[in-house]
Amino acid sequence: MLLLPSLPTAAQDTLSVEVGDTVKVKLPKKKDKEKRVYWGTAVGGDLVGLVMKAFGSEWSFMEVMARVNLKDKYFPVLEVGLGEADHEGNDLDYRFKARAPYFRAGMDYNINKKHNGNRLFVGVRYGFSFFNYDLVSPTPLTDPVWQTSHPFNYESLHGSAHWAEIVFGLETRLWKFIRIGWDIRGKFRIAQQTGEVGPPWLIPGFWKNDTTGWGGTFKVLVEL
Amino acid sequence: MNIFIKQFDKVITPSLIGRVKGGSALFLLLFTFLSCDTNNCLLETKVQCVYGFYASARSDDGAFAAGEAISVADTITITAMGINTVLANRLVNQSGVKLPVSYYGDVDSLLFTFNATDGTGYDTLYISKRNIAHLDDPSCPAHMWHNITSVHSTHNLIDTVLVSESNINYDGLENLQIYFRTAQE
Repeated sequence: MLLLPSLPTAAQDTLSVEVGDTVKVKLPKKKDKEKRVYWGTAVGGDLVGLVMKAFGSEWSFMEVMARVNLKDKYFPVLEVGLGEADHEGNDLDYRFKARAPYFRAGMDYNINKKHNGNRLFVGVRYGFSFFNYDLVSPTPLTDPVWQTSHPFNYESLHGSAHWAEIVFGLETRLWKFIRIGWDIRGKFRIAQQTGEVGPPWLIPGFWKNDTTGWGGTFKVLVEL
Repeated sequence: MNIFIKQFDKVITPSLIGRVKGGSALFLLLFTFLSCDTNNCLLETKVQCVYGFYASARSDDGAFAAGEAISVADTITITAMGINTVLANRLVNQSGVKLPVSYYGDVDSLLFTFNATDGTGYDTLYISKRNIAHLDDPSCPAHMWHNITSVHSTHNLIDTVLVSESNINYDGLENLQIYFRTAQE
């Protein structure tokens, strides 16, 4: 009997050989493996939004993502999320409410040339969201001269926004097919359309409404 | 005999784990810092209708022609009709005026009273408008913006009123041009 300590897992067969026999085993060459284009698919979710929601934050983005690994270098990715906000002004009692989906598509590029499971990413995203939002206040708005009042209650205002993101992140294998990683993102609003009453305080999937924003994810991925 | 070979997954580089941990702490710190609210309320948020005073001119066939900006020598008092509140009191030698606009009225009616040495004259200006509540940020006060849909007036001393900018908002642009009949007419 012979023990062949270098056989791949896939070839766990029973061999009957006599002493003195020669057994040839063909192992996949490293170069052959690296020539593959499709390396797999992974799905995952962002923990930041869940943590923010669990701690009662006035806004959160909860998202899931799916991505394809091409040559362990290119990672086309699709991100879908739900943005929620219930924000009250600092000194006044105006309130902004929104709950809407958002979408991002883009690609990460792994700049770690070693195929050791650790990845250092730079990437880009295009994001968009079509959403409704409320601007309300329990206090009516009073005309100081004519002394007339009207409730400040504007619901289902329509808004939309498009933006671009640049991404920098790290990722590593936690256990077998489970991966963890984080990224930070610079965001640049390309265009927005808002309701006549006023702009949204927050754009789902983007950040607080401004020309630029920041963001990031702390993600857990499962390799399929 | 079964040949069983266990292949271990690739070992995580300790330095990269450290980088992930360190980066995570930095990320959370940055995220918390950037989550802080900032107040971006505009400093100048008066919403007033801006009036400019002009002298009217008439062509030979009697048609209206825009004249030049003038300072009105008469004493002008402007009163909001309906609430009998004086919005501008005894303006003298003014080339224009800024007046508040009703938040919710469909039409503002303003009584212009002209006092001169040779007597007193009156005109009423009617401004039809659409009212739009506006809130820039929940931490900032709300205001009413307006969109002028039409204007008309009596014609004792006022000849014509033109809308030069229909939107009344924070911009402070001249909204209405009031052309007065001049002594030469």
